[in-house]
Amino acid sequence: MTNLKMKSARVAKGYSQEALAKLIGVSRQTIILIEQGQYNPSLNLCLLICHQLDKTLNDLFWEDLTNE
Amino acid sequence: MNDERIESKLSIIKKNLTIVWVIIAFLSILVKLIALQSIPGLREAGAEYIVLVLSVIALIYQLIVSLSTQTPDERTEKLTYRFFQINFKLTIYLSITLYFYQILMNTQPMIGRLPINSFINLFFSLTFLFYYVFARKQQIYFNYKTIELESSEYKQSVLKKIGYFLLIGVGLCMIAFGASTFAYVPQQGWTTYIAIMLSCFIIILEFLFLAVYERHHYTEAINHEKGQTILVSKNVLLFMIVMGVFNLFTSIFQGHYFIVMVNYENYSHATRFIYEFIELLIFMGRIDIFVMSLITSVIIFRSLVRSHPESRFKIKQIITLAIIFSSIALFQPFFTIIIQPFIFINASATVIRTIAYGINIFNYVLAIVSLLVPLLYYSYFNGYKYSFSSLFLFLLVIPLLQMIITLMFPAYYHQNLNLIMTYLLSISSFILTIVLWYKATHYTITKELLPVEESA
Repeated sequence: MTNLKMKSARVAKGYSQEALAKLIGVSRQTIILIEQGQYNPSLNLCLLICHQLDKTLNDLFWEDLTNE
Repeated sequence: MNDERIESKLSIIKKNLTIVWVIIAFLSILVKLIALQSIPGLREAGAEYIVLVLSVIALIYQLIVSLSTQTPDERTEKLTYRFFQINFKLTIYLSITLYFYQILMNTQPMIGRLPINSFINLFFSLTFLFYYVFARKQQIYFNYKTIELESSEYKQSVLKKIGYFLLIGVGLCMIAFGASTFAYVPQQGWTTYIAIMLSCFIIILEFLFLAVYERHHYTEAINHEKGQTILVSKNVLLFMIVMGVFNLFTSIFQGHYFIVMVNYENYSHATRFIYEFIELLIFMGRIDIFVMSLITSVIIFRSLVRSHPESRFKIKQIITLAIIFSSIALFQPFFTIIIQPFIFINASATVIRTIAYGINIFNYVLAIVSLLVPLLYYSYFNGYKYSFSSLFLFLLVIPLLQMIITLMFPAYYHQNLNLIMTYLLSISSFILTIVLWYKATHYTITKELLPVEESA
């Protein structure tokens, strides 16, 4: 499932995938795969992303399964 | 960079690689067993034994972990990653050490009928190849630590690694020289140093090739995300250079080889042996080049289809024809070898003349038909009005000239003239091919109308 919330938060912050990857200390491809929903990041990595994008875990990673 | 995704994928890659190592080491020991007619010792197969033992330990560890854990969690994944990291490094360094021991203890460059460095060359070649294949399957680059660096920094890191490989090679040679000078080990001949440096150069070449290939792939992926696409991948140019150098060397060598074989009484037995040996190496190398040309064809096909999806069928036809022609050209020398015993059995002059005449006709037909390949490329690229398409016509002129010269001045009677023409035509063909594909790989189309898509 594509993580559009993370993608839009990144774009709103003006970061490219490469820039965000550098800030967090992971590869660009890891960011791409998280946004595409092809990789499940650990809690640590989720927190790092949230800090960089000034968002909470709920904002970026919470999925309301009842609406699906 | 401490990327958790890469760490977990690296464990999978190294696990798979361990299985490959077990197979390579086992087969190498088996081949040496047959060659030596006895169980090879540490002197003969030390590197194979260490690779086999460490790989089996790694597989047993993996089996125990998977049996003892119900569901793998992050903690066990981290432990597995650390284990495979250490095991990987140990295998590489210990295999080099044991290989060095083999080199030091053997004064002969051959074990049975196998060159002493055959295992280490095979081991590194297959490690590079399989590591790359497994890594791409897991969406990781071989040089994942440096691939995202700026171009100049990436080049520096590649050069540093090459320097590191060279340092190891030279260092091992110096230790071997020192040890044999002070009589700690048997006296070393030049073959020892040649064997070490040859392995070193093979590893450097393979690493360099992979580094350039990956960088092209990475840059093109980024450009594609920015909405730009390249007509033909730059990696085609890389393959073309390798194939071009091989063809250049082959045609020039065969010009000389022909002279040596025709005037064999003027050359010593040793010289003739060296020429025949190189001819054999070229013969074997043709298979590698054929595989490379197949890969190149696939890259060209995929690149062109991406740029012009509407002409998919036409591209497929052109590429298939190119593959058929290059396969016939590759197997043409094999036909002669297959026919040889038949010639010896039926040694009547009429039969030999008929076969020779048949081979000659076949060669001419093949030469004429192979002229179609550049013509097909020309017609395709010209259809899209690419400026470089006319270069394909120039490429067509070279084999035509070669055919005219061969017909007007038969090689047997005009040996020197033919040799000079071979030099000139081969070098111009090489330069033209490289210029052509350089232009093709630098032709960038901006997909202004298409939305910018970010992809892995």
